[in-house]
Amino acid sequence: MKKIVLLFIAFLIVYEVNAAGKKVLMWSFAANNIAEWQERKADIEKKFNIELVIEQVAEQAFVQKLQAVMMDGKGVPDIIEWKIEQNQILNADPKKCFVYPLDKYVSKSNVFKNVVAGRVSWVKYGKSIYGLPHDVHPVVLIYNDTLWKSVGVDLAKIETWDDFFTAAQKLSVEKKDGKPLHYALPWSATMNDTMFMIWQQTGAQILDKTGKPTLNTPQFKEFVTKWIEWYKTGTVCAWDWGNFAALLKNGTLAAYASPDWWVPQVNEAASSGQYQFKVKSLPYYKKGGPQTASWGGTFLAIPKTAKNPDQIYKIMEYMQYDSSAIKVRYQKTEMLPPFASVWDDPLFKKEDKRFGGQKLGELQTTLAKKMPDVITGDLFWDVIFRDFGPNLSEIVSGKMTIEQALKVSQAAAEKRYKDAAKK
Amino acid sequence: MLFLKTRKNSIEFLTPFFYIAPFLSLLIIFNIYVFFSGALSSFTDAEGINPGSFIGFENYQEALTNFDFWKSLSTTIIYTVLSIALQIPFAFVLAYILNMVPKIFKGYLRASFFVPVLINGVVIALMFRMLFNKDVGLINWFLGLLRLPNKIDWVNDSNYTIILMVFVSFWQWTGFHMVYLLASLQTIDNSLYEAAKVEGASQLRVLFQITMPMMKPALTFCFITSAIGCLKLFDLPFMLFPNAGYGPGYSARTTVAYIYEQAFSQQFRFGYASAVGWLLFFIILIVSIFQLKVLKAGESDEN
Repeated sequence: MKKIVLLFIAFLIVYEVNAAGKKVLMWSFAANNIAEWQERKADIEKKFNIELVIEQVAEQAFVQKLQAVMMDGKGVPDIIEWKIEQNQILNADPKKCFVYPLDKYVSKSNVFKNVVAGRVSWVKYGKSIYGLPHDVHPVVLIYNDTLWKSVGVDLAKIETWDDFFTAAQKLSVEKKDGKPLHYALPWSATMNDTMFMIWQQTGAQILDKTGKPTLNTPQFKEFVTKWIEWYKTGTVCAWDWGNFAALLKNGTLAAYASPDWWVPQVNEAASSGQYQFKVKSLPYYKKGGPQTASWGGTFLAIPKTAKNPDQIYKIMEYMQYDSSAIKVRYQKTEMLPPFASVWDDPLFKKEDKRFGGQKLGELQTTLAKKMPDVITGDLFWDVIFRDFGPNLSEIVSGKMTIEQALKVSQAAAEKRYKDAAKK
Repeated sequence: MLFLKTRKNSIEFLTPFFYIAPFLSLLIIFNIYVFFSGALSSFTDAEGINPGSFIGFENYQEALTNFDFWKSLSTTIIYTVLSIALQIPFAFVLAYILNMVPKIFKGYLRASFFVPVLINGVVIALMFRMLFNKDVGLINWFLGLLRLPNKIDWVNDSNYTIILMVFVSFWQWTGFHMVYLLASLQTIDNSLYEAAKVEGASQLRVLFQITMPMMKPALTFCFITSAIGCLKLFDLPFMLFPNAGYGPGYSARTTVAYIYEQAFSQQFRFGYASAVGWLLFFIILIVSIFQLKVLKAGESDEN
């Protein structure tokens, strides 16, 4: 009897050790993406002979939790899926970075070379690439053709943002209680959304190649000046996540700059049949420049505490870029994979009923090939949201001139840069 | 026999500890451990996933000479003073009136005033952000109906930041204080009022010389909990204003938002953030002791 018990215990120990060796723990904050991973779980497990455990970690607690488990060494995920924007965890100095640099893998990979460069730039800090982007999120302009045409504007012919805002003034003529009935674009006093997208078209970088803040360049000043001028036309509308689709449906918002994941916001408005919606590339900031941008997105990365990064990279690459799976991703979520080699598939050339038969996928893939290059770096998000953001509101409310705000923001960003350099 | 008795005694002795064990273990893990680990980390240059090395009082020194820390503290203090000055007197008046309302309405009104307390702070912030939206918010729409200026950019203009924070927390927390004060009002012995009536005391005199002194413990509780809550404010400005916890022109950056920024911006300065956390703890401690002294907590003026 004793022997049987001992044998059973030994079996359990061996089984547990074996199972622990095969177990791959993944953390993600993105519910949409988790649905895809769950659906493909069995296939991934079979291919790599692993047990894939997917945990959803709240976005607000993600970094804190990751930091805590990495310091503790217990319960550390092997793969993390984190947001490309405001991601905090990447750093040009690999020693300070939460995740492994992937350079030695991506340089040899035949798969990764298909990922568009404009998207890779978002996960490249300093000289290293730290993540595999899940998406490319090319931005297009979706507009209410009925409303624009009702004031004599054919937006399809509008070439630049300057032209757009001139035309927008016709749209916002009709008023109630002193406010326009129809607005041309959603707007906020931060560099979070529309402004962030148009900024990418300008080529005015936030950091230079050495990672130094550049809010004081003439290009950036020109952009902020234009942005404030456009705001003062009174054609833009403050919005919120909760009411966006309703604003489109009731005609308050007559256009918006939309990455692929934000396109479904128009579904209800388009299906109601009251208005005809259309889609086009973003107007130029300057003729000849980029006609798209990106907004949002996630990437997969390997925390430094992961035990078998070589194998984890292979799993991640398969998860992100398996060609048959990423077509399904587009079908289900409308998110365009950042993988140029599959874009010729008929799937991306279908007519879209929401836009009167226009081929949205074709437009997105065409634009995705020409994504503007953005230089990110350790201070990138802090400079945008902490050094510049609060002063942008002060420009909007008239408490600071553009020159003052940029001077103060640049000084704060430079201090941040110097402080970071000391360490 | 003696063994059994001793065993019985020790079981009796240990029983209460078993009862409090779940609470105690949670307290040790989530409070006491964190408390001391935070204290230790405040003397280090811990950053990101590096535990850092001992640097003495450097973090404290840096915080006390840092303009941003003092600005965030002043924002927090202004907000605290205004919130307390509005919430508690108003809650007291409300409780006083409610105490006189017929019983059938009392329960309904008490519940109505208390409901905002039950709503999550983040939800409240998002709700008010929509209400105060410049172009499509209900507040500006209503002002428009009254032919008043209706293009106020509430959440993007630093002139309104503190007003908005005070207003929203007033809406959320006044009901909580009111319920507590009402409960306290109802415990005052009616014979005191009857005696005052016989002596011909005016309503005002009754209020100041019987009601308020008898409610000192309840008022003290409200003042202290309110001050602590206000000094720890984070979720409201973080969600209500753009720029995550900063607001326009940094006008909404409270001390806890400053701590969050230091700990979780791209620099991950955990050591420094812990030091600021400890400074805030001492400030709260001093404020609470001061309030207790001033209000002579726990003592009514019965004597």
